[in-house]
Amino acid sequence: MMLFLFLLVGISHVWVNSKRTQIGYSLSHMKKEIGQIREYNRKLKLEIASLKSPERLENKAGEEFGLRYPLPQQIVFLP
Amino acid sequence: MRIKDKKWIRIRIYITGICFFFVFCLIFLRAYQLQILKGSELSSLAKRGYTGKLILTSQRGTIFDRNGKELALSIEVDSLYCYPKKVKNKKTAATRLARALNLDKRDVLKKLHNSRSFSWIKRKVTPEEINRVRELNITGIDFTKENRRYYPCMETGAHVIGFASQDNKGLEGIELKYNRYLEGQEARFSRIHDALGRPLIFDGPRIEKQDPFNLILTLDKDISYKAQKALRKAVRRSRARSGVCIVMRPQTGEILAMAVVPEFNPNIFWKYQPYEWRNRAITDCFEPGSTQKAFLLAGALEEGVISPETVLNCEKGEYAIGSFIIHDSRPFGMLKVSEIIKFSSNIGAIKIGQRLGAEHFNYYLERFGFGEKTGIDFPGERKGILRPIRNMSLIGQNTLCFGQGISVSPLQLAMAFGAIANGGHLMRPYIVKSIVDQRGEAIRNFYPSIRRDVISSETAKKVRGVLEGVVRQDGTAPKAAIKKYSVAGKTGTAQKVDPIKKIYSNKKFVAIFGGFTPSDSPALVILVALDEPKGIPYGGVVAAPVFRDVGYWTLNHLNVVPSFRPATSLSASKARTLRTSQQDVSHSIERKEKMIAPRPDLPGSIPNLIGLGVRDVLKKAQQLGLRVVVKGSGIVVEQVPEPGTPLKKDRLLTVTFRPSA
Repeated sequence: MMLFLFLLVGISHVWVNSKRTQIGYSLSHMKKEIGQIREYNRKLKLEIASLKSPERLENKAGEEFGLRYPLPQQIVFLP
Repeated sequence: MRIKDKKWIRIRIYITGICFFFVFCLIFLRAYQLQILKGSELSSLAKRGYTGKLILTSQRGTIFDRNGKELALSIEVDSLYCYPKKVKNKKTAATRLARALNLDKRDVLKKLHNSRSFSWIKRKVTPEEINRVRELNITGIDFTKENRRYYPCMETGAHVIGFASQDNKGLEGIELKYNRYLEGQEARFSRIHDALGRPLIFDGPRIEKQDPFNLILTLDKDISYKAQKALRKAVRRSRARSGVCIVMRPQTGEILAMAVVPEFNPNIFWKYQPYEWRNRAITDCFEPGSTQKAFLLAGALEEGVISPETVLNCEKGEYAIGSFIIHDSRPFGMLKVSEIIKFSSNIGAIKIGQRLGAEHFNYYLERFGFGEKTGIDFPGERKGILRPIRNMSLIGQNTLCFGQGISVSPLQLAMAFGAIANGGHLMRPYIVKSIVDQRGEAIRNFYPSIRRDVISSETAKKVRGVLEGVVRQDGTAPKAAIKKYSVAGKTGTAQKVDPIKKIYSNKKFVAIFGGFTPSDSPALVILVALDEPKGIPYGGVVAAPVFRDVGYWTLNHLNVVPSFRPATSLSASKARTLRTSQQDVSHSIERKEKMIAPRPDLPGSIPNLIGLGVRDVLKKAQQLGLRVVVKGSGIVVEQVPEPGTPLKKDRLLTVTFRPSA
């Protein structure tokens, strides 16, 4: 009976340790992944900011779509 | 077994026992030495083998404009380094690396021959360059992550935002001023790793990582762009040395835009000269010229020594003070004070100054903030020069009335115009609206603050009224007028002092226009100054168009409703047309309503289905036993046969639907 108990405790100890190691690996992997996703998000934000820069939008609106600023007489203010 | 043999066995046992004893003693002593004497040293040695430190360098905080658009942000990029001793065949490696990274071969070779164990090849490389280097597969070359600062709007707002170094330190502008908030602090973690170096367990950070804070500025990215563009155009056209354009909210002192030319791109700031980085709106000073007359007028009106209607003699363009003769651009005779400002008569200004008194005028200039720093949250501000009256000669006291013998920064001038615009309060200008943490919660907010009250609101109103005349067709700056909006302002064409001859130059000027719009309820103060424009140097010609362009665009951008006044409102005929067209529109709406009004259905005839939905049509058709052909979707706009047609058995009804508006 005692031998069985020792065996059980021993196996549990080994199992807990191996599980701990596994979780440690997956945790560090996930942390790395979170970091990468955050970084990717920042890069996308930079790309959006660059794409939305007024100079680029103005050039695109003018050259690609032929848009221009309205003249004062073309603006109607509604009360 | 003989006794002799037995003895020999015993001796051997003893010898073996003694040997074992000695061995155990040695083991014990060694264990004692290792565990007790050298225990702590060896355990720390072992710990170093399986634990490691992880240093997370903090990423610099983001700078946003007032609408939450990114003006500066950091992202991780790869930097390339080498272990020179591990690189074999250095010459070939240098050639291939130089080609892949677009570097000089000799420089790369020099780095590969470095006597140190570590050497940077190229920092902050592009993803394409990384791929090219990876393909080369050279031993001893590796990458590491570093933060790089990006400024997506490039030149727009660059002089305000400034820039940060490769080592994450703010070097200029807001990046420098608020470096301690933007920088954050690096975190050090300890970790346990396995034999292959893979991390297993992380400990909590030894030094608590302090996330960097983000800044929200008062700048508006779009207004800044427009101001930069308009200023750039004016500087190019007039071939000026430099230019400044400030857009500010007079009620709060918030800086909406601060454009400076020559400009620079902060993404590659090292390619520009330091004089191009300088925010001239804050660091450069010049004589304000005739713009000074606005403050002279304010002081004189506040003291009650004149009124806008007071008539003064402008001496036909020539006025002697001691041995000096003051000239006007045109020979003016008797002029009202409002006309003196409108036509910018120097002699008239002297006459106003004489009524006010030099001491009083100097007092008002001090009250308007000249000769002291504005207190803006920006490094390198200069306070200009305002000398005490006792240190001025008689001519100096008189020429001060039209802006000579005083030096002011563009920002001081803008703030002084702001005081006239907002009813007499001199505001403290500010650029940072709030400092927020990574979750967006404000840790510090900045609010408008009044430095002092300079003039009464009644005086400010009178000054605004007089300054409106400047932009009229016969004033000095009709080019500053903005269609549909009222504008008040003052031009200035200040002579620069020739540094060699120590006299006022007849060729070098600073062209200035400062003003606000709409003048009855100012939403913006705009100050434009161009240094040494070639050709016509007048502020009303060179600087005023920048005011108009930036003002018109910004008022629209901020949805400021135009001020309809008799002079600028629609003409009577146009108004009539508008009223007529409005009547027409209402009439046509009425007619349309009449057209689609439901008519009562006659019994035994096709009902009126116009305006009904599909479900209602099918219901009615089923009740009357009609077959329906449905075309389109939405509500009924057409039906065949028409309403009122007598019902016949097995009649087909075609109904056309259109989406409702």
